[in-house]
Amino acid sequence: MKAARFTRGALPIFALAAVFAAQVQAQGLFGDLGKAATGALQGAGVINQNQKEAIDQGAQAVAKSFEDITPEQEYYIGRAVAASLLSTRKVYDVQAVTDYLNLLGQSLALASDRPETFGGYHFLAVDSDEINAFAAPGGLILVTRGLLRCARNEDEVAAILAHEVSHVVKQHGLKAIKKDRLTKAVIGVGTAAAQVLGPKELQEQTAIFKDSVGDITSTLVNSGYSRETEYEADATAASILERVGYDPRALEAMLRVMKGKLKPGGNDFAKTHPDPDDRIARIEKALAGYSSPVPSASVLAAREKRYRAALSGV
Amino acid sequence: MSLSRFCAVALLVLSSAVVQAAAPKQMSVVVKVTQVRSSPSYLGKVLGDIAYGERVSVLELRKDWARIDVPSRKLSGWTNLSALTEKRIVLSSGSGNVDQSASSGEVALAGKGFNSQIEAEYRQDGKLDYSWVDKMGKITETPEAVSAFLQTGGLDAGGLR
Repeated sequence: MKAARFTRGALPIFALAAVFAAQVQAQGLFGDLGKAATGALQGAGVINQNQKEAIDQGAQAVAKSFEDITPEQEYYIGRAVAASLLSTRKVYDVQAVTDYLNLLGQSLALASDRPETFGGYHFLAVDSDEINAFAAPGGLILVTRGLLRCARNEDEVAAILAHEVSHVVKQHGLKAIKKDRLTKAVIGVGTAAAQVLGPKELQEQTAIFKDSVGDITSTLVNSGYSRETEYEADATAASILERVGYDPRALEAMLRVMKGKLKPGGNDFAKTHPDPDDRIARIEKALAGYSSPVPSASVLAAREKRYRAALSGV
Repeated sequence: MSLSRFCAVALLVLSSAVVQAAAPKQMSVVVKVTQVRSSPSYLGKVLGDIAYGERVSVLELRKDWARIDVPSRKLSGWTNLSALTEKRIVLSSGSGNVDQSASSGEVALAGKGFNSQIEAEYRQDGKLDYSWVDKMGKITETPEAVSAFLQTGGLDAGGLR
């Protein structure tokens, strides 16, 4: 009798499990659903902490790939944004500077929550006295000589680059695209099988592409991100600096230097970023959780040596 | 059957579904190219490269890393999850070469949006100079160079990350 009751009771359970498993497979275990489920399972002792973390991390990575803009599309948008920025700006083409920025920037990107993008992270200095930097979607990052001159050591250069890498990690550029464009871009092309666009569709999509690139470029150059977006990039940068072993407080130090150098009404960071004082006030809260590393004298000397070798003439 | 036993059985069944689904058997490379390493770290030795669209079998997950196997090439090791997707990437050319795929191929299911065809049209229209963008995209720091940079500076790449 018990067996019969068990059979009757088990059927709905298996049916439920089958539906759940099918949904999980279809949806790729979206982050929140997955985390709630794994939390419950861990609480019940069904899986351990390591398994829970592995499942959550896997779920998170899977969930990211369901973003409307795929990494490949982000790459093409980023290239166009960078091309637009570089069409009116001269590159500071000094090999030692480029090498240094890329080694340092790559080290920071690898420690971020998004170490790999479709085309990777790449860094260039811009030959301008302006205090400014731009992060194009996908990881093409430009920093002016004027901003590099604000940094007084490697940790402070790292703070600048970590802030820009954070904009890429958080996909702030893509978020600046107006939503109606995105909808048209995503649904306007037809079926997945139509790989090559007809002339009319090509024209339509190119117009949407151009407008989307314009949204991002104009945000980077003119209007700037929202305060909250900049605060988020600062907080993310602090976390990256801490993971790599740089002093997260270099971020605050950089902001103080910039505060002294930025001219109110200037056509640079002053125009597109919140007042450094506001950012300092916000970042101080985030920094409270971090302790400054104490590097050995030889490590500090090594960082100082390469920083000077690369940037003393900038 | 008591309610608690009922719940325990239900939980067990559900948990096996979650664990099975959380370790996807197949994933695709979603970046141009990435590396397979000897350990779940960017400091791990590079055993080989895998390209956009290649399918890999996932054997184990650890933090942000997947232990993968590329049976067709007898290549096996660790790859960062940020370079992988659960989707199948449809390349029109049928190869993993991004330059061929980018001309007409797109990510499966998305299969829409901005690609190299749009870029070509945009460049014609906008008369933009992409020469520095192309140069920038080719700047490559070898894993050894980054590793040496970190080591000399008393730094690391975020532990297991």
